[in-house]
Amino acid sequence: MQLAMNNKNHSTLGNCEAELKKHSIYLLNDDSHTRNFEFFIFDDSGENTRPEFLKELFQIIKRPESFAISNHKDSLEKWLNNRNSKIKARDKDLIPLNWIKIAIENYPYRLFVVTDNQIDVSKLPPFIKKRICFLNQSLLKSFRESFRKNKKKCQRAIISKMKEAVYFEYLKHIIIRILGEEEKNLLIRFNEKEERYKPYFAGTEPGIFKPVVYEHPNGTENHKFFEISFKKDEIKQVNNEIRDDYILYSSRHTGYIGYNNGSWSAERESNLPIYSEAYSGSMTFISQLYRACQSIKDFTSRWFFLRYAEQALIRIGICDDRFQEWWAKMPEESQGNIFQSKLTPVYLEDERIYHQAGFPTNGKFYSVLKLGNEVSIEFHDLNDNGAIHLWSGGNYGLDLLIIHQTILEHYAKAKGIGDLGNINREILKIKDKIPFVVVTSGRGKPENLPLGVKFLGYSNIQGCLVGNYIEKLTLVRQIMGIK
Amino acid sequence: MAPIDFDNEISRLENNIRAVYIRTFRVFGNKSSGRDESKKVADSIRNFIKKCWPTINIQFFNLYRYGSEFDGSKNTLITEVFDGGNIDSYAFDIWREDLNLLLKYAISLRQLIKYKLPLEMLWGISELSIKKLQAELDSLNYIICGIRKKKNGELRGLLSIEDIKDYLKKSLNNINNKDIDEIEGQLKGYKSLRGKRHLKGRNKIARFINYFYWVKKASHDSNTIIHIPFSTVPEDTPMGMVLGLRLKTWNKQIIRFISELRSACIIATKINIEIDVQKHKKRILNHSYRSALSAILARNMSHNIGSHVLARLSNEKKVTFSLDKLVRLKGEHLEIEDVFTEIQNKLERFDDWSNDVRNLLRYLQERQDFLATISTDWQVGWSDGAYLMQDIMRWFFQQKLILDNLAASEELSGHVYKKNNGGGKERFKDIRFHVFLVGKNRWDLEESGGHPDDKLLARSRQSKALLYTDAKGGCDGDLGEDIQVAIPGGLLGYHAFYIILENIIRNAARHSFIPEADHLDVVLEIFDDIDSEMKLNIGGEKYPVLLFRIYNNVGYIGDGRGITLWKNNKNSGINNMLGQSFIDKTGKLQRKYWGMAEMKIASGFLQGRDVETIASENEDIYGSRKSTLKELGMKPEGAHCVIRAVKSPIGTLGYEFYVRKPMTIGIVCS
Repeated sequence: MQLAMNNKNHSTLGNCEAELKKHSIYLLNDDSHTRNFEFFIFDDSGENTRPEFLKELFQIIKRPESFAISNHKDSLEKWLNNRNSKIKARDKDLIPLNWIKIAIENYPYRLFVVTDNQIDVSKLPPFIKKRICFLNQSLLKSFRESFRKNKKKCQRAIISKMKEAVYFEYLKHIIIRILGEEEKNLLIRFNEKEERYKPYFAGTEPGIFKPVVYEHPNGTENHKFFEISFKKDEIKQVNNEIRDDYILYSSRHTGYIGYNNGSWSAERESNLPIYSEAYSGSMTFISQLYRACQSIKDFTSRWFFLRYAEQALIRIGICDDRFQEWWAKMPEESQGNIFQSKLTPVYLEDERIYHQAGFPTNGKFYSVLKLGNEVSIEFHDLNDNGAIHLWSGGNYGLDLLIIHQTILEHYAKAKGIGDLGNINREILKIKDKIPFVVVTSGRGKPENLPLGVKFLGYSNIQGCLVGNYIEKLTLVRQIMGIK
Repeated sequence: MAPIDFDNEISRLENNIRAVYIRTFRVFGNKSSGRDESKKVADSIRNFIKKCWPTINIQFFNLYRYGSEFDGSKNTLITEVFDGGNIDSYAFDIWREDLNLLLKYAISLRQLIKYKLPLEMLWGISELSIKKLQAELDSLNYIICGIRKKKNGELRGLLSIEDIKDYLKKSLNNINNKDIDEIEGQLKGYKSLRGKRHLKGRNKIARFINYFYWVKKASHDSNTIIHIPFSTVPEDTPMGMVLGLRLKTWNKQIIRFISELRSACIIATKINIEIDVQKHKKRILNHSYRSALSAILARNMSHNIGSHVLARLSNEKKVTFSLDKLVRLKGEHLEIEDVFTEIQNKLERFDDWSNDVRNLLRYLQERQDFLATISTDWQVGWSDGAYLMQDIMRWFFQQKLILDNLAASEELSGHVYKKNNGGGKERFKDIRFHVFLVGKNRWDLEESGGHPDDKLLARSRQSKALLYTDAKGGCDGDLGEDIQVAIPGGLLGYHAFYIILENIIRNAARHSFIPEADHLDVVLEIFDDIDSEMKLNIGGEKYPVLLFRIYNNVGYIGDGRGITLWKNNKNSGINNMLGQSFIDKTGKLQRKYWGMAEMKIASGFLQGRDVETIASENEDIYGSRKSTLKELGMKPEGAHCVIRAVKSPIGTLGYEFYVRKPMTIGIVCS
């Protein structure tokens, strides 16, 4: 695929600019104006024309110790709130990587750099490796060819395919670079069975929203399998699980590791389960899921599956007292089911400090983030660590942390950091371990929001808590939209 | 040689400085150091001097500016040396804390004020005798102040480094040797000043003198250094300059040069100060806009949801169970199954009620958060690609308590979809929602003939119906045709949409619903712009949008009677009300047309408009009357307006506004 073009090829896409726009793809002259995109791609056409952000990024790859642009150093100094000249001289945080860690938050989370430069990704700092999806120029060659063959009009199908291809690349990026796993296809296993509890349906809600209720006299289940294949960038319905595919397990009310009479056990055998969602008919996206299952050929359906896979892959921790309380009140079964969807409450350092709630009384399904010299995360799972296996093949961790501003403020106060300006350094440290950091608050966007984070109002999170379920899909969709 | 047109040159200088100034201070925020712009200002002044006073030989020229915008937070003085086209910047904090305190020691400013002389912040250092200068100044009635060193009562310029050391030691007893050593150290090479923003010296004079001597060091051949700030009030002057001259003696020509240059700079700067004042005014107004926005939204929430929904709910009849009542009803036929059935029914009712209350509480919490967001972070800068029906409208439909009570005073309640809910009935006459995707050819077409219900049915069949609600409690719609919209701020931003709907329901119920009508229709139409031609223009940038129209079935637009869209001799028009700013020129909230102001705010938020645009008036809000909103959106430059009241296809009142489309991929390419 050749998404971003070298100079010779720019005209190929440039000729289709109007058509591309119709399908929501925009060619931009620079990176300083509109950034409100779901996917943001830098086409690197060489050193001379690089935007400042790219200049600094490539400098890190070549010479990580010195700044490409001296102003960036000044800005970082200001951001780090360093007034002491003695400290300044030997300030270890005054490095281009930290500038990138802050400046990158001006762009959407799904960020790509397409370049001819040979980049050894394994040598990149972990943060850059996880946050930026580097693509080879040759990747979109087939699309360039398609556009050439259709000079008069860029066909809608090609553009749709191009959008999907970008998403496929990002999913691969998550699997390989963020999760540190081997590249394998994804298989969504959708188990449908009779609704255990009748979800509430307000009388004023039109029937078109009513989820399809699977009714089977014998109580048997209906299984559907959809494979997201990276070899041909395609999504297809298959008859069974495919060996070696990563399994995204989705079943009504039941997790991959099921809860029966107070004990947990894996009900079904899948080769490589890496996600499990016990969905409910009351979730808003269920009708989309059903529709997607019925018409896999539609772009909307395929796009839905790509979104579904993305949210399934990302491991989220929420460090918020309100969320901690909500979680602790839930029955263990619900906690375990949500935990299997790779979402956990996080406690900063310990329980009941920094304005946080207490740990869940059952001692399971939560995690603790420790900020010492090294940032570390402890997961509290089942005794045999059964559920965390779904998170990743041994490489446990969080990719996205949502943290309450108030907890940060209390932490700063307790640690004598003083104002939140200096907490920027803590954020930079966390980002080495957890590349996506979002701060939340229920009082609007705080003026003293730390740098290097994105902001999401707490109601946006609260809106995703439906009874004893979480709409992780809606949560990730919003988070990926934050600029 | 043709005489110099001084006025013309000043005017040119003024324009040059203004252009650079605006750009400089726009970019000072984060994007640029402003060096290039400073160089342009400096070039402009040098050219001006060269043209107007060709005989004056400037040995040294240094322009300084404050390191941050003129907003009271300036904290660094940056000077730039222009050497063969290269620029080097040096940052000082010499004027950081208290300029007046420095001036008290170094410049006779206080004396000028004390003796009520014109406040003229012009100073200089000269190796020439100031006695001669004083005589010249007296004749010009003009004042130049130098650093004073009293020697036989005469004012003198400072002559050498030794002089200054001597001066520091003798005249300023609160400065110690360390400070002087530091200054001397710096004098060995002024580049060493970089990074030395905080001198050890406790005395601010050290820093000030330091600056003088840096200038002197940089200007080897000068024997006179003149400082010319760009306005009469130095603290409010973001820029100034220092000239190094080599003079043989003070004469009238030199004094006139300094004087005229000074005047020219003030004139040239005047406009810039005015720009600053405007910026201040804008900033203050911006606060007023925000506070007005919050006040309007809070007031309407209190009115629509508080007075109508919550007030009614607080008076609702409790769900109770009374065995006595059951006994009275059934008498001797009462059986235990009857009791269980009654309890079961009550519990189910209570269960439904608690679900509805939970939905309402979440809705209220989101609304409060929405209010907090728009008052703290109006332009949230991101949007969520949400489905209109499945994400946005569904949550609104789940608000049974809102729909049942918002217009209950007018005896209207939410439509109950009986077929899907196993019965149930409306408390009052019902509010029915319809959502259509309308094609190009039908959008402007007025439905003719028949009953309004028939017109709507026809419209649903000739459009893509996402939802059509029939009178019998059924509904139809294809969610496969659901559309995605970009909602700023994600779930919270949905409330901008809900605000518009709530207002339309309330207004229709209150002003147009008549007892003879058997229901209220609320119709949402979206222009099915399959070629994505519709655009919105925001600050020159064009964004893809969808055009929405929401109307009811009861409020008829009429020439003589009914609702008036545009002001005429008899009535004021809805659009004229929409076009009125919600604050006056002093920033005071206009206490009228609350509902319309709220709809305007909500649609502006959905479009990502800035607060100033929403607070503007007339055509900025409703657009040019010559074109429809569809036509305005189709124009190459895109639409600039926010919302307009229109006549709906069934002849009733509707509102049209734009909502942004999600933007999927942005590719930055050279």
